[in-house]
Amino acid sequence: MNEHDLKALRIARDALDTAPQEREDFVSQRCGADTTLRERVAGLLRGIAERGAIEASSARDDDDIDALPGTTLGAFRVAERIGRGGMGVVYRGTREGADFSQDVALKLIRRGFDFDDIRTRFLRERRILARLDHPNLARFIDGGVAPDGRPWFALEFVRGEPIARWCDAHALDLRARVTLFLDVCAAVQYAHAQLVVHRDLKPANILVDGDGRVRLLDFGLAGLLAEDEPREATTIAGRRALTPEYAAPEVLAGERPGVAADVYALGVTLYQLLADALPREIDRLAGNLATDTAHLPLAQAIARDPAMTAKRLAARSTSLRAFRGDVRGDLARIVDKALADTPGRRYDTVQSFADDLRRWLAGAPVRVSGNGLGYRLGKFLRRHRVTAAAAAAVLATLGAFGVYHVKTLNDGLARTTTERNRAEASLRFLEKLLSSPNPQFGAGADLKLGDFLNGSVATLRDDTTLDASARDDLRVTIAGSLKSLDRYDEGLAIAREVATSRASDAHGWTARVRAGALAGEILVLKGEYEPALVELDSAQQLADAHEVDDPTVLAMLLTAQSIANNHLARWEESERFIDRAVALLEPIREAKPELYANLLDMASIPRGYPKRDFDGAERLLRQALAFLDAHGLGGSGEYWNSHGNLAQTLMLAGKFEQAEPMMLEGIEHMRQIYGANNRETSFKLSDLAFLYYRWNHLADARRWQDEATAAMTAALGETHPFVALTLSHSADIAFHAGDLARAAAEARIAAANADGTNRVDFERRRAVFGAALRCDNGDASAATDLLAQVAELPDALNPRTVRTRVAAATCLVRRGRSADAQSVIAPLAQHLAQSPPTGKDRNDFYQPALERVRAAMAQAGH
Amino acid sequence: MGSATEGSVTKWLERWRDGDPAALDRLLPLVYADLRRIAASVLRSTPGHATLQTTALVHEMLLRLLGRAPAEYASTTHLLNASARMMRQILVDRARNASRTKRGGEWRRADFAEVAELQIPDGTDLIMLDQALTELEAMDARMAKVVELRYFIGLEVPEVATMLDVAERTAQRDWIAAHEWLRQRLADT
Repeated sequence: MNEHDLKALRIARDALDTAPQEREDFVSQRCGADTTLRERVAGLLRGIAERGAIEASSARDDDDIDALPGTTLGAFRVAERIGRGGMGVVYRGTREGADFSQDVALKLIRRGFDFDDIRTRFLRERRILARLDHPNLARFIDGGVAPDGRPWFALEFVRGEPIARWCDAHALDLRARVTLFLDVCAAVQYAHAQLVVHRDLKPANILVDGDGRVRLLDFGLAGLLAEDEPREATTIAGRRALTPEYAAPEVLAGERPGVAADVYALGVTLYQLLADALPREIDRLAGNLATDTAHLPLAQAIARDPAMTAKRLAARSTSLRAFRGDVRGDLARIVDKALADTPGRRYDTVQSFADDLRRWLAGAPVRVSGNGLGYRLGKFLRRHRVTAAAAAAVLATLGAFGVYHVKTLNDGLARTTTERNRAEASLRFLEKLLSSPNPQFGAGADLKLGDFLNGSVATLRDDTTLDASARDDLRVTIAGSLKSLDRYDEGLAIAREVATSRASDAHGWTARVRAGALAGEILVLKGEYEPALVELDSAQQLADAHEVDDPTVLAMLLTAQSIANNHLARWEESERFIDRAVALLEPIREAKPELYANLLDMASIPRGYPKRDFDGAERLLRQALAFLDAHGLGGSGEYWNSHGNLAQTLMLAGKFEQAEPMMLEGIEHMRQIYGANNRETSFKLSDLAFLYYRWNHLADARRWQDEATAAMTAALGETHPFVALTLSHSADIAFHAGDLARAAAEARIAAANADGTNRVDFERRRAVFGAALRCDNGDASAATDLLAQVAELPDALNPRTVRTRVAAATCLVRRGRSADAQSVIAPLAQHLAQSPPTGKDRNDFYQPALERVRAAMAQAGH
Repeated sequence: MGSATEGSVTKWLERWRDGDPAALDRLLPLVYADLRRIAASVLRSTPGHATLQTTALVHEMLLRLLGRAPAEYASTTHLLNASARMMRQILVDRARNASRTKRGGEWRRADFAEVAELQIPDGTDLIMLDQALTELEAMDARMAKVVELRYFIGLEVPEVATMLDVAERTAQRDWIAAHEWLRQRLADT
């Protein structure tokens, strides 16, 4: 029989290489008189065809004999078929025998596709839909099992038009399109909050109904963010069915789509609504991006197909000029950020994407991130991440907890108190490990550790042998560890669950406040500052109501409030909160020297820009250093952290002579612990170069910046965005030193490799430097271009901007355009005239800069 | 850095070799997700920095599991082949052990949730599957290979085609024919 078996397979396989109409003859010929064999081959071919796997041309259309219309499913009578997807089929249905009429969409698995995995996926979709309830999502009505065993469900029947077509039909202008798009964001954001990712967002799945309301359809590929459902179902489903045009690069590369993939798909959708084009060409056959190049700017995309341009513009009630004006600048920036290649550079939530769009609509400046301050604040909250290797070590040390966890899962053995204590001790150890500034732990989070932790929460929740307070403590600790691993949504869900439950004693309430503070911290890291403040405020109220008095927990709460306010540019509130945290910890500072010093360090932040109370900042940082020193922590990670911050503060205050030796010392230290070719070391080298740059020691600036670039390149490779950062600084120095060719070349590379937050900045610089170079080479039109580019520069008093303006003005003077040069430096001159020089930097930096341009103009004879 | 990873991998390896089946459940997830990522990125030629590092890690782990010298793996193709073979071996061994003890050697996803994402239909008798594949190998090694890569690594058809250096259509036909054959054969018995 086995031989027959294999022979049949051989023939069936070869038959697939023949044309469908010749297949039967081919099989007869090969089988000859052996009817058993022929039957077997026919059986195989039938099976193949039934599975619908054979080429589309020869696939049988089973729907021709559709018996379903006219029958009933639950309370609904099935009407005509309205759609058929890869695996599913959708009918219109009406409610039977009710005194009101209700149309529904009935969805079933296609006949012949009722395999286990598809069924699993279908049931999952049904479960997901049943728990979603949002005005912009089609409502779930009912579900059941059909007589033939196929599960079905009924959704509200949405009569509408795909969003892109609807926008065109109503000739919505760009602002109206963005406004409508915000409703799409709201629906997706809601789904994310329910831990559901959509995975197949595209204009065809977004309808606008008769009332002009956005309705998001088709959660067929949706997956759950949390791990409370089997994982295998999600991936098998997710693979092939996705729509490549809207799939994020990491998804095309085979990664599991998450929130970031939905953000990307929303980005493509918005791009399409704005410009009626796809940002990138997709090679459908290969299922990947046709090119590696960045997407076409919106301003160009609209006119990509000249024959269609006029029609497109008319559908947007705009002109080419107006369109280009609208999509340049912030809107392009927002779209860029949503479409960034790597998830880490995209908006991390749909909320923050939508927030920026709202700001654009309101004409407010979009959120600017990527400054040193944000880096510092984020670092405080996030602390150091764990590399895969380090995480493996942590896993091993977690042995005790692992035993506890695995035993509970496997055989439910009664656990002894010792085991439990060991588990708790190892978790505490883990938390300490994750949050200590230890050079062993570089960037990059480890997913497996997070999975493990996340999985252990479920174990804890159902554990009845642990007392409630031990359980809460462990859960908050796990949530904190997930935060340190950048698994914000999971950490947040756990923290919130603890924060909002009821407690029975003082210990329990303290754990709840701690959980609330943690939830707030995570929201800050997610960029959701207002919600963070709401969360923190309710934790504060909880603390007040139940007289929670643990100073560490309260300080944590206040610090998070300070940071959230800082991000919202509420400097005074930020300062007030952090000062209260410092005061609160004062009485127990001997017991918590690291935390106390850290808070002093943090308190220096709101005193920097824009308050410019550098003396106050310096005092706090010196206090932090002295305190650490006095407690035997002189060489600790915390110490060097504050040491570096002090050096920076001194530099910003124009105290170059004091800052210089400190920075050199810091670099020496960095080289010892991290090595010469390391990212952190390179940052310190850049800081020193910046000091010389401001100090007008351009040769020194050049030397150190070159070292920084070399170190960064050696550590991360040429195309890393951090290398772009050092190159951009290098370009600044070259530009100021008059080497325009080098400045333009480096700025170009920097712009090409910059990440989301820096890209706009570097693009501007590239444009300015490029224009200056052409201007200097005698290109007459370049001067005008240069003027236009300089006008785009933000923040007229930023030292780097000042330098750029001054050098650009010098260029213009050389081309004999002194009047233009005058206008370029006007904001600077105006500022100096209006405000009395307060700091040393003013005298050392801004004034001389201005003088140089004026001298050049005088020389040119004006 | 290297020593930390090595340490924990070595530990689980030793425990596995000492006959602790749970150790494998800890070890394979470390390797497997990365393995598929490598497959996806190398076979679809989307180079990335991370790939090189994970490749090295996976190489190392697999080499240890398979007890071979690194030089023996000349390419990713080679590595994936060996991995598919290894996974098949491991699963079948587990099934054999299980059938000796209690409830038969059926493939259940839940057993291997962490490694999972393997596209083996639920309820497949792994021992029978192994035997059928061995026979298939003798008749048409390529078809058997296609199934092995699909089942035991979870590669998609286009990836399999790239790996075996055949047209996608060919790999697809190999797959649907062999898949159906296996289905009918395992259902018969």
